[in-house]
Amino acid sequence: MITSKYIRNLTKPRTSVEEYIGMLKESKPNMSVVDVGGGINSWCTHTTHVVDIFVNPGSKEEFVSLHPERVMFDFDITQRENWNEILKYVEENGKFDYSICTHTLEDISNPSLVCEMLPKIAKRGFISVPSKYAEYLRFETWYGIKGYRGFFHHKWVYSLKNNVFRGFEKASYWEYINDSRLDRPQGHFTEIGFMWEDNFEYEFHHCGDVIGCHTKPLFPLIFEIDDLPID
Amino acid sequence: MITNKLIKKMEASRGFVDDAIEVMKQANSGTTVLDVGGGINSWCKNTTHTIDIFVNPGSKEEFIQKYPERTLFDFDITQRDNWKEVLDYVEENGKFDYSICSHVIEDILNASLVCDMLQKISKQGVILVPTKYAEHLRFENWFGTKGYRGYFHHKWIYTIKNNVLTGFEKANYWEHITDPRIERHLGRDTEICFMWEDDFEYKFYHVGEVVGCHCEAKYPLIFEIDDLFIP
Repeated sequence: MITSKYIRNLTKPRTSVEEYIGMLKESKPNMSVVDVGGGINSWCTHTTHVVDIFVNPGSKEEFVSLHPERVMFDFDITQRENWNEILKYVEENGKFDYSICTHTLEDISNPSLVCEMLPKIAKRGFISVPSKYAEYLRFETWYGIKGYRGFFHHKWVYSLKNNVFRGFEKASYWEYINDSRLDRPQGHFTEIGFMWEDNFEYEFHHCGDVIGCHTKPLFPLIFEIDDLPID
Repeated sequence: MITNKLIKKMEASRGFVDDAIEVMKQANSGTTVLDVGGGINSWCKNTTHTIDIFVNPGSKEEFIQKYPERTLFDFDITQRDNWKEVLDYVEENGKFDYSICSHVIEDILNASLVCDMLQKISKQGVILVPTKYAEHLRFENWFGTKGYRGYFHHKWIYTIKNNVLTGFEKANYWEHITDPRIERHLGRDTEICFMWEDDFEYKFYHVGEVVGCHCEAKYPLIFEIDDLFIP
């Protein structure tokens, strides 16, 4: 279940997560914390294990040199078979005490696989993704290309409604639908974050469902006021 | 190598593919033809094997009833490990004589995996994808959502340049760049069709490379005149 949730500026430190894990460590000093998608730059000082592949920045060698105390599971999280390595580890060693998955689920084609795996490998955790408000605004410029909504490489628009984590596939249609409820300048660079214990509910809607291809379109759900509104 | 290539209207007959297979069958009446992603609607009358999962339309039961003579490999082609089933089959029975992959690799994010596998499991084949001209025009309208370029669910824009199949990841940036070289109304509903023997070269650029995120932007390559252009 989702135990806490917030919307905040994504550039600010996630002190509350650090503090929460710090509190857990008071009763279990050697607790394990796995960062899924944390790469070389896991921001959490408590991270003990990392699942990722290295593209950029950093390399496996740099990771080992920078964080010799951290254990690395070096695999592509989009491939189901690859998870066997860590599932086997969990079978032998028990679930991780805590998991972090920060700004990863919006980048990959099949985030539902990661959402399925997180409760299988960890007792509880923290997830953060850009808010739907941030994905709605037009602010980026790369090599003269500008005008598009949100972050150019993100594949999902997320919301949290009735404690269900919901992903809507982002595609070109997103440039052509409008709703004043999302048009919030204060949503710039905001993220939603939530903590979960045991498990959490999630649903993903592919762009055919979102746009209404031979079905009722689901994009109006994105515009609904959800658990984390920006006034 | 690519042996044959053309741009054509999607609705125009692909009878020349069946004709080519018929010629092969004159020398080998047991010619095996595998349709990757063909689902229940493989348009090739010579198809003997199909790889796909059934989402919509059709079901596995309907497939078996309609095509009792066809063999089905029922798996998700985006997961590398799933291919083991057909790789094992090929190891025991030899490569398929011909493969078809028609309007599939624009729909999945890891299209390079399919390009890799096609060459491992078949001696030759045909691949069809929408043209970059079709992906540039604005024509769709789903439940009032319109204005975007090409087909809402496609994840790649394809060209063939110097006999290399080149894919550029499609994302929202695509709505905000333009070039008269691909603004061709004749391009609507057109497809690239190429035949290959033994192997073919391919190259995929992910969205970061296309927009030039910390690297030289590759999107100008999309606008170049390539092997198959609409004058």
